[in-house]
Amino acid sequence: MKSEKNLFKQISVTQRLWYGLLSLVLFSAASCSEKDDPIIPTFQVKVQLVYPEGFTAKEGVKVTLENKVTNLVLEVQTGSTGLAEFEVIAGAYEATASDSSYISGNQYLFNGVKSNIVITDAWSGSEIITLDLVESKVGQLVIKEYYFNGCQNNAGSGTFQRDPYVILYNNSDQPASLENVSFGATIVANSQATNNDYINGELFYAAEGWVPAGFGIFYFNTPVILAPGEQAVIAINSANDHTGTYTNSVNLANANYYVFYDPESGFANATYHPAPSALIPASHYLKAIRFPGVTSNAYTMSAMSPAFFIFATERITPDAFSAEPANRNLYGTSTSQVRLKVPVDWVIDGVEVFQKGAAVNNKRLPATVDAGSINFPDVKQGYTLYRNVNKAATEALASNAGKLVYNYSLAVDGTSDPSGIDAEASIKNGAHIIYKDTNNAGADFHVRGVASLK
Amino acid sequence: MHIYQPLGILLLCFTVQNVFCQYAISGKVLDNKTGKPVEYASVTLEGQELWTVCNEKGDFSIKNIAVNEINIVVSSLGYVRKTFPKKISVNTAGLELRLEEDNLALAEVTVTAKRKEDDITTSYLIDRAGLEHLQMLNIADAVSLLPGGQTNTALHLATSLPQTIALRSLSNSESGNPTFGTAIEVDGVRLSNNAAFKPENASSIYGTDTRNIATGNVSSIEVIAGIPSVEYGDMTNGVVKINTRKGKSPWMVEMLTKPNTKQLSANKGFSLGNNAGMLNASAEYTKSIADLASPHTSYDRNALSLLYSNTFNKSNNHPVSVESGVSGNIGGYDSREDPDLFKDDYTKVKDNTFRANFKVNGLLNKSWITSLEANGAVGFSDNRQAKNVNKSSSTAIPVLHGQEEGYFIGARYDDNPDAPIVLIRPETGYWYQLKYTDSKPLNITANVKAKWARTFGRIQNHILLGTDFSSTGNRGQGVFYADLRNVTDNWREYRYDQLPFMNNLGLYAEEKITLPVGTSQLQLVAGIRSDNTFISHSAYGTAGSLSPRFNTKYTFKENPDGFVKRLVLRAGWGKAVKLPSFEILYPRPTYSDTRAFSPGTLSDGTSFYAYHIYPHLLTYNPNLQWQYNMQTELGVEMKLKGVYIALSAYNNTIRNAYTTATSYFPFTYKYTGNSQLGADFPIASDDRQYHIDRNTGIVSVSDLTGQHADIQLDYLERKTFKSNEMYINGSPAVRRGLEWILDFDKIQALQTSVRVDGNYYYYRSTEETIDAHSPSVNMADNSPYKYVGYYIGGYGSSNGYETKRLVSNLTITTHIPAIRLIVSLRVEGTFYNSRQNLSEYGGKQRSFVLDNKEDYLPSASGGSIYNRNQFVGLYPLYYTNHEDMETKIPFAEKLAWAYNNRNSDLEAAALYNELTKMVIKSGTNYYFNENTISGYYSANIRVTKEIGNIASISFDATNFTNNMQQVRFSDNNTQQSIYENGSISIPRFYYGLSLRLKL
Repeated sequence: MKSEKNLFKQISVTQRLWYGLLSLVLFSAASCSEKDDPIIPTFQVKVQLVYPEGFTAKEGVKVTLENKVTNLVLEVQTGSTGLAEFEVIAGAYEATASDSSYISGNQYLFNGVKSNIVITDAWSGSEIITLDLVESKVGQLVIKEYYFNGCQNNAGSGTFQRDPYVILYNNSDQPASLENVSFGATIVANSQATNNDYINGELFYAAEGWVPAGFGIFYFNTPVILAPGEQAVIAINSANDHTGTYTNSVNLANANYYVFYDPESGFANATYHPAPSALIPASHYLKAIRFPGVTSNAYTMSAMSPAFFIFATERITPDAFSAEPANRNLYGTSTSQVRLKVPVDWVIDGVEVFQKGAAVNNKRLPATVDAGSINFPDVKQGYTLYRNVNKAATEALASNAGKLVYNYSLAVDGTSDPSGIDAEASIKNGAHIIYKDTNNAGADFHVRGVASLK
Repeated sequence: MHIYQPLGILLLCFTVQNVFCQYAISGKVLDNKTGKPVEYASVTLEGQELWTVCNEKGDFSIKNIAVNEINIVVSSLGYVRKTFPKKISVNTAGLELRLEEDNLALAEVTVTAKRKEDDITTSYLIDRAGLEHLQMLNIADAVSLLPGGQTNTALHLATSLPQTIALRSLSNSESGNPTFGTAIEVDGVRLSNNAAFKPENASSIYGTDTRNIATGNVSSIEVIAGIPSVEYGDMTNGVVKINTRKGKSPWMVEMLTKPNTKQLSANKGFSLGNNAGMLNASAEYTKSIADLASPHTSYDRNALSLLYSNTFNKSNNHPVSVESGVSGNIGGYDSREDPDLFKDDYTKVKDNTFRANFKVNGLLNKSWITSLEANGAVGFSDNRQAKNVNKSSSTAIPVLHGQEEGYFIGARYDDNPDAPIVLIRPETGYWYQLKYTDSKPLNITANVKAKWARTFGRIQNHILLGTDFSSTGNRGQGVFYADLRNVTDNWREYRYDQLPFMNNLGLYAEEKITLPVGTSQLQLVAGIRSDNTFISHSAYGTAGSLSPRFNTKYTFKENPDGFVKRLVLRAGWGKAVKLPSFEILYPRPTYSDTRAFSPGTLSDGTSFYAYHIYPHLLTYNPNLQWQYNMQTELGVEMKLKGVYIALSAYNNTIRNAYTTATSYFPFTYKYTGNSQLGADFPIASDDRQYHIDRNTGIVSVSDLTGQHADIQLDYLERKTFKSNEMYINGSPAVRRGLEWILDFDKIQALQTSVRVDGNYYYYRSTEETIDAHSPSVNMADNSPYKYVGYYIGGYGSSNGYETKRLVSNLTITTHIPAIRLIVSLRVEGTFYNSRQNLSEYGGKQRSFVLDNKEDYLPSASGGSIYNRNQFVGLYPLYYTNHEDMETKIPFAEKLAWAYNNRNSDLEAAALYNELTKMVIKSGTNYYFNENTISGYYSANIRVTKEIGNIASISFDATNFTNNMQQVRFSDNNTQQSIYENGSISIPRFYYGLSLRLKL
């Protein structure tokens, strides 16, 4: 098997050599007849940021242009009119920009993304690409950590994946209520899968103002208040101590933890939803709504590349909202892939995970929920997504003086927390961490090599 | 008793005898090239039922010939079967009948399926030359040579599902289970699959798996696609007859290599000396791997067969042939994980078979009987599947074994291994579960048939009377496990070997009359078959069926000089009945397990889950009729100047196809939550012992320390449904088709012949029986759903589909006898391939158009659901609710009422929300669009070259143009590579090489 692979490799290397030689010959032929300077032509690309009504463009906003083939990222700051100018080679690009403003004590976040910018030889340089920024909400509650990829088992015979969890965190200075806070993950579950929600290159539901929550939702139906800086750990499958059998996993048997557990809802599969640890009181069980038409008795979400979000229904309970047939939608050709049409306005936080190394990753969360995405390696090594620290805000808290731990070293897979603050170590020191929340997963998260609960 | 009446009438009609002059012939069969006698050649008088076998000197003699014009058919292994027409008016001796050795030096060699013109129904013959040229690995490969046949896309044998044959149908998803309805016989012995159960990974029972049939010793394959003789019972979709080598032959060794498969076979026909008979022995080794990069998933075939044959009384005009054979195969499917992953997971499926048969055929040649044949056969297979799967868990797994109704609480395996609910959690947390699915079908058959051939002037009359008995059972243990401690599957024992045998007695009578009409000839065959099935200890008891069949053929006088040289017209009508499989006869008991209580998991991982177990009743349907096929066929064969044309048109209707019906009944259970078991519960969690009352479902907790009295927990009553299923007879399915062969005369200058063959196939079926369904969903208040909908043809968006397909193949064969080379190029073209989902009953629409995907009410403008690009909804006809299962509430009216009043009436609004849960919608707006796939093709090239008389080599390349074209799907206007879509398939670019040696 090995030798065959090598053989294949050799062939492709040989082929590449041939192509290389061929292009060299062609290139030298061309250069002989024309000119001797093999400069690759570049083009001027102008990106104009367009703010929602009532807001004006400003100078110094960072705009990025990513070459989708080479993954080369260029960053330019806008001028006073909100125009950013780039010099690029031909290719397919994606432009993104994020901005925040504090007006009358309120924070406003603006995000924009534009894909499929194709620069060809026909590009004159005078074209202006408009990048519409949309206003997004800044929540009190943030997803501090999202552990979904599982870990290796001890026998070397595979992986363990019944241990996902999510940590919600009160990132504000006011108490936050979790009542009616609901959890959803999109169908399409995997970013690398074919996505039939794209119509003419756009997510059709983004224009309709909703986000799909697939199969069912879990929600808090008991009053839970998180104090500023307090967190809630919620086990998604099995709230038990897994470390006895799977030493790489986590112990989710903790009286303070919460769990997605509601066998009455129809999500009664004992493998996915085993009885939670006796330590966890029944009041910590989240309620579930399994949507009509769903045939699975297990609530599942992607273990590779989920698009996961939290929302709170407004002036209606999650039950009542889900019961209304008009609030549901069917995905693609399956009648069992039922989704709840969650209004974008209700979304508190969301994270768009892309599978690292996949040939294609399709975004599922609209820019208002998550303007970017974070690449996550599907290695099932106990890695987790962890939110970056808002360095300025955290350091600005006088109470944190002397409690912050720096030289954070647990970011892996080429990601980092630019703040350099080790949030968990600092929390243990009594620090109050304020996490970064720009509604752009690429900027807000990093891949942490170890779950914070380990 | 019904069977005896027609039999009596038939017998009465032909008790009159007529005696004419009788002649005798004798002579010698010689090798045309060497002039040496051909030993033990078989000599048959066509249409006379008279036959004999030559002695070792090639001598033969036949007496009592009542006609003047005879066709002497001579055949012997290794020679081309030849017909010698003779006119006799006196006893004739000294006939010299010369046979040509069968090789590529002959002027005529056919490597495609030949229409068997002598047969009164549509049947085809593929002989050894064709099979060798095809490099057949699997009998199923050979059907690609039939008109419009397409190369098998299963390029190897290592597939996890059986490989089967279905004649005149497209897929096993069609109504009536066509692969199961296609009969396969090896040397006259039926390979029955009736006692098998469906594979774990399949949705329906399959027909006979052809992978265990050795291909190295096959001499020819006959395919009866039309209406067969009444001697063939227990089939609805035709018969495939495999004939193995019989007779003296040198060692034939064949080596075949294809990228995924290696095969080695050897066979020889031993002459055991004068009058001692002949022994044909063959052995074959075949190994196929699924993936070239990894040899870990494979299928092995190690086949051995011995066939003894002898003919006694060769010289006294009452020859008796005796045939006795044993054959077997050891092998099967083996799928292992790549060992580099340190995993011992595997799936192994044995495909071991043993077959023994005995046949005696005596030419009695009496005035009241011509010949009598008796045969018996035993077939036994061991299809045990072993599946080893790595398991691990950090918490206890409740495993349900209970077979009785009631509430039960789990017990640790060590405390009570026989508990209805066992809590599995080995100390290590890691273990293997080894599961066996043990199926050992056993099939015993015994047949007797008598033939009576008579001549009345120029009228020939044949009567066939026979009976066949088959007894089918399964000696397997069903599913069981190596060690119950490690079992995490919910498992209830269901032993196949405790199921009663299905015995079937078939009686049949057939009359064949051949009479001249002027210079032409009319042949009529009328037969009736009665099958009586006896199943002891079963609700089905005894079931009977009658199958009448008629075939007629009109042969115009040959006119070798005219434009129409030969013309034959055929017509047939008949019924064929398939006995049910054990899967249908003995429906596997199923259990519905409802979680009633699950207290928190203890620190050791144990949680005392409690379930309510409901064993679904084994509902036998006393009115279940055996499925049958009504066949009508028309055929034309003609030889025109320059071209031979064979056409067959058929119209087959499967009736009483097996389908299931579900019935619901209200069921209320108690669910006990954990809310009382918080920190303030008096008994500490490690000191609790839980009990659940088997009948009431009430949970109580006792204190192991004895400090507290028992505490009963509060519960919730949940009203839901349980269901039972039974097999019923479904709606009919229609298959129509036209098959054609055009053989153009050989272009002598190029030594090339051209064949165009193909078929048009049409299938349509809609299931119109009413089936109940309650969606698995909760009410808005989180209680279980309380309504049951009754849908026509089940709750699928469609209740059937229609397919149409036009396939035509072009075969160009260049045969150069001088260098013993044959090269064929075959282009298989699919010109029309369409499928449309249907939703109809009684000729009307069963569904309705929705204006909008999100709507639940029909479009006000109505319209056909088959108009392009619209969402389509389906309502149940009526529904019932939990409190009153008798009152059938019309669904459409009630939903419309609820919709119209939902803004003024809270009850109506709630009902509207609930009823919409029973509305089924098409998943896409193109679901009911006709999906026509644009045309595609695949081309194969095959070469066979003989090197003297000793060796021959074949090479083939399938899809040698490596066609990977894009095809367009008209339903949603998408385009895909031909490989991306499972519904169409052409083989990959593939090649094979084989070498045959005669030693």
